[in-house]
Amino acid sequence: MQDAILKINHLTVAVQEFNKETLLVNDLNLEIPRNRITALVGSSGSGKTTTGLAILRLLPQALYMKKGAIVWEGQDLMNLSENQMRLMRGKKIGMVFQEPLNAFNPVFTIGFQIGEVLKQHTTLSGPKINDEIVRLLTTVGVDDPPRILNSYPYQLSGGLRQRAMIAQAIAASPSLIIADEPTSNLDVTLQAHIMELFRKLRDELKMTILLISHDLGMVVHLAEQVAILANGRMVESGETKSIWQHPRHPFTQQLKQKMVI
Amino acid sequence: MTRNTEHVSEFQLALRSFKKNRLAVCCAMILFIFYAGAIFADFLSPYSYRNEDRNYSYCPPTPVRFFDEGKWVGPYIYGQTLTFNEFYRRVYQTDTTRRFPVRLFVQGDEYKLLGLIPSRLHLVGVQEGARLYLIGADSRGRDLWSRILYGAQISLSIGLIGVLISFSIGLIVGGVAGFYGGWIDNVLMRLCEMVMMVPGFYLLLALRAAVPDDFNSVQIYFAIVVILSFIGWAGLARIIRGMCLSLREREYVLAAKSLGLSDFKIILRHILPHTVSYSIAAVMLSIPGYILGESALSLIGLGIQDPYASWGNLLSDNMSIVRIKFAPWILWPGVFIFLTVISFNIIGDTLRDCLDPMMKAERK
Repeated sequence: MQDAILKINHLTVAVQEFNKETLLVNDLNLEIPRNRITALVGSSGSGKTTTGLAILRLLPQALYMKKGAIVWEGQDLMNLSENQMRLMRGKKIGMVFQEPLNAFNPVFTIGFQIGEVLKQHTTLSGPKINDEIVRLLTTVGVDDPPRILNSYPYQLSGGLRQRAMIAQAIAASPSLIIADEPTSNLDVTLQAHIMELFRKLRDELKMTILLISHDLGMVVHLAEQVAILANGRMVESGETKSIWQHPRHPFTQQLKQKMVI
Repeated sequence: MTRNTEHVSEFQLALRSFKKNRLAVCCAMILFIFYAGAIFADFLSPYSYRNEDRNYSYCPPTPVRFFDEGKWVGPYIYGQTLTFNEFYRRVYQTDTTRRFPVRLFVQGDEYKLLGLIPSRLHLVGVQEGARLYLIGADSRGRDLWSRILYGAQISLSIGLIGVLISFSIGLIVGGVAGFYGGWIDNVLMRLCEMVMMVPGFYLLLALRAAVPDDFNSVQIYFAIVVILSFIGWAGLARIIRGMCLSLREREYVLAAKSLGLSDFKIILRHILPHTVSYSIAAVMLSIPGYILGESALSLIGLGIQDPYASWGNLLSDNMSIVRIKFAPWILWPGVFIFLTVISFNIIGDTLRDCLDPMMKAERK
């Protein structure tokens, strides 16, 4: 087992409803190996996204972390101050959201919003920022970066928006990217392209990727590690190949046959 | 890929539908003329605001004539002679033997245009020996038209500066309260309520009473602006806070957080810009409040002090019914206040309709 960039120990996230406490994530243990693609797979409501947000300490107000630790290079993120945590977000851990149309602010151009991240986390300024944005957009496979960076989110197609979103997430060159269902709103061809892009990010930029998905069939070609979540509990985890070939848990078998979404 | 249609921004759409409303465009033009008049008051006015001649107290308007016995002779006025009637009341008699041509671009009282360029040039004026009163004179024989132009500088600017200050406070307080929620929200909103709890005009008077007496006119001006803005921010802050409570749940706010942007930047860039369509309309609708607030203070003698002119203190002459009876032209500043206030209100209402995305069906 090679070294893990992030270790999730006994993560338990709960929500209080009147006097009843509901556990959304129940005692989750996960190790994310460096420079690998790890997939977190489960049906909707299984706590995948909640886990992703808990890593960044961005849980919605009603939710709280009941116990557990999220250890980043030997340090528990829960012990960081809010300011230290802000330096982690975007700079060390980036996040790609499911629907880039919602995740981009509609009133600013793509270039402005990527530039914002660069201004926050790097020392670049002025025209250098522009050059950097063009470079980032080229990295994620955008054909005509100067035009895209002057476009508003709603002017772009879904695939381009998702690429721009990824460009924004990798702007400050974080080591870990959490991709929350990055392809579920795209058609099959585009899904393949985006998956290819994640592979490229891992191979060329040496990034670690935590891929959150509900589609086991899709991640099987990309991820080395897979963890299956059901109702907030991890039911199975390990090498993707062995899980795909010999799913032990009945839920995994259902996922494989796409019987649950 | 991008659509190859002409890109029309939301703002341009709103502007288009605004232009279709003739009444609102008319009001915008009125305001434009008023503000232009205020900026170039020194040049447009025949006299300085403090140029007085007590021999012309409450002198009636001197009509500008163009014809003499049916012949075009260019603009001129007759001289006025002061006499007293049997009740010892001032009566001005038009002296048709003395004729004074009204000239354009004449040399007159010294001033600095826009506070920079020293000049003596005035748009209109008459030579020594007569005084040009386009709409009449006040108690000290100062030209009311000139004083209205100078008064516009104060009355119209107070609205803009006041709104700028109170909206900055309102947006930031509302944004912070809405974004953070919890105890910060609680503290800030209770503070707002404390400000809103006291009826506006009494708070205005109380705060004005707290200002030292020995302030000079510039200090009083700024004191009034600050006092007016202090009253105005709370209502806006509450509404902005409500909008922020829903805006902070948007995914792009979460995305901005996940990118490590600071809270201040998130409030400023990702939350407040989305309240702009409401804010623009609210700004327009609240400017009249500042103008009226200043007028009310000046009217009762707590605002701008003589010899400086504001529309409010020009109106304070109207507190006596006798003066209105014998010199009805001193009501003119009220007409200007009325026109300004109603213009801002109509523009604000129209903008609110134009900027409302739900009204798009009506934008044909």
